[in-house]
Amino acid sequence: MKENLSCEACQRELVALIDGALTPSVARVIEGHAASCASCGRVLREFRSQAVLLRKMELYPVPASLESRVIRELRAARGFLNAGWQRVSAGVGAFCFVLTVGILANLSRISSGLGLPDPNVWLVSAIDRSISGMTSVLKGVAGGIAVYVPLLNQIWIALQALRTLPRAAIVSLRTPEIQIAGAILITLGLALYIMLRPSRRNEGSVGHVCLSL
Amino acid sequence: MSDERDLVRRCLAREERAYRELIRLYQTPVVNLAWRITGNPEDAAEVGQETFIRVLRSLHTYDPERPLKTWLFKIAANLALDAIRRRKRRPVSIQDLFDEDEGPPLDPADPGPGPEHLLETRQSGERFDELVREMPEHYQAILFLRYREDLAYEEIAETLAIPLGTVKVRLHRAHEILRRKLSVRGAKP
Repeated sequence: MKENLSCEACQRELVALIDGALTPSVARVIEGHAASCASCGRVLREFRSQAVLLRKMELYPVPASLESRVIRELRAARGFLNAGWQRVSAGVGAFCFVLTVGILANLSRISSGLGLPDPNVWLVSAIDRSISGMTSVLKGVAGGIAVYVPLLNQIWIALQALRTLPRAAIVSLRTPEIQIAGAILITLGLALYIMLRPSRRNEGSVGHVCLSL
Repeated sequence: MSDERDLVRRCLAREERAYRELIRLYQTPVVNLAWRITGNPEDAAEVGQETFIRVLRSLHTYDPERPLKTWLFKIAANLALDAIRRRKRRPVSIQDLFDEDEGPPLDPADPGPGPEHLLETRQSGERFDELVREMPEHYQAILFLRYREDLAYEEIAETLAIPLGTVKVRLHRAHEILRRKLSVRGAKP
């Protein structure tokens, strides 16, 4: 940089000078100019004073709940945190395992201490009870089958028979005798209905009473 | 740095205590940067919260060779810009934030307020803070990162995703604006 630099060019570098962002050679030139130029020297002093005040710039307060809100969000997102709870769970699990092994290893001693029967007897009786339980269930099932299967068979056969009824009716309707008898019956029925049908006019009449009955 | 690495390692192991430590360590600068960019306390709180959630979720992508604070600031700055765009207080882009046009040209021959006025102002830190608060948000952000957080120009450029030269120009402009404001206040207290 030239020694005879303008005040404008010098002042553009003053902030970088006080921030230590210039190379040593450029810094020397700028400092030299500021030392010999009243205007630039004055600006340099002002910028330095500003920098001092800016380093004490006011800080806004942080919301007290920020930390807890972030942690809550992270927890809610997924089992994200490997916090104390996971360790506590692992500890409880390990303790339970050790306790179980200890109880099994000392079962005879514990049962005799508590005045309970020998654990071996517990085992045998438990197996015996479970076998007899399973047997009784099987027996019950077999008995149920013996009773209900024939009954269900009978119902099934009856249903099959019912299925044949409509077919039988259709077949029988094909014969001329049945068709004539049916036509007569329908005609008579209609005639009877027309004669005896209930109405306000013949309410209380013999026909009305008969039809009601 | 080793403490920071240890903290990151513990966070990667998903230790809740480490998460809390990291939040406590950086919540003030992060929220303040967001506040300087958005100019709004509600937005700043939201940005702060979202920054930590994002950081802690994507910590595995963090390069431990680089300062954690810069990475945090970068995420916070991006989120703050998003918040401004969402609120649509005014259309903002990175380019807008670092637009070079900033009032009338500065006169290098102008002697400015002089150390006496500055001294008067210095007597009241609150008055100086007021002047800073009156500045456009992008200047406040850059001043905050440089002087309050002591970030190097390169780190500021990375955080705000702007060229190094722009950082330099912005800082110079910010100082000049402050000088002019001090001059006006000095003339009409």
